[in-house]
Amino acid sequence: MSEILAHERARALLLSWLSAEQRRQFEATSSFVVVGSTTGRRYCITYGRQLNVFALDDSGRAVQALCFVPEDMPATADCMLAQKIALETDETAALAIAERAPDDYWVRFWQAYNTYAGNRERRSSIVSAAGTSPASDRPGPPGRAFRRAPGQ
Amino acid sequence: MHVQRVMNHTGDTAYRFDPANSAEVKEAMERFNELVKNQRFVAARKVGDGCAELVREFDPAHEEVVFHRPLKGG
Repeated sequence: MSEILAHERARALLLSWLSAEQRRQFEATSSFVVVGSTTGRRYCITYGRQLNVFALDDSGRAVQALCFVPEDMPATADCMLAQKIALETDETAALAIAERAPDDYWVRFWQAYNTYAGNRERRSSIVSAAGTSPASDRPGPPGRAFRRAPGQ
Repeated sequence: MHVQRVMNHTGDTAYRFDPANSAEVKEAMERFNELVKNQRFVAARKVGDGCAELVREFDPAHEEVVFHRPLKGG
């Protein structure tokens, strides 16, 4: 129970720190895009604590998966907030400590995530069009986003 | 009331203080220095819509500051 409360509290804090656009992205896909403070490069931070940050190219495709987390591994949304702060305030330091995932691993990861995110966005649109609040369709527990294989 | 939020296993712990109360400001400054200078926490505050800025020195004018442990490669 306390873990659920921790995740809810962390989620509320994260939402309060996101821009309006990032909040919209997070509500729709459980991920959001930030801009690096040094290079201006865009990164997608997805719901998770490990290998959940993707460097994007100009067309929005992931070109690298990165992993950097607070030392004490707090609740998932807290971890995402720390990653956002790091990339938006000291991108160079964040990249210097980040681990990179092997290509074959993160490519499958990204495809599965996009499939999941696309399905979520479509479901939200359908629910909104039907006049029902999409608020019930909240992100699940950590890792849920990546348990579905592409096409499911 | 201003707030210092320290991320931890409960999500975060919020320490509120009144910037007009010198005793509370002193306590907040001591907490800031302990976290940032002794325990190497990273401190940041919101500036504008969704933008963050690192905070290296205590300033009682900052309405909300969050603290998290230093980052490491996963």
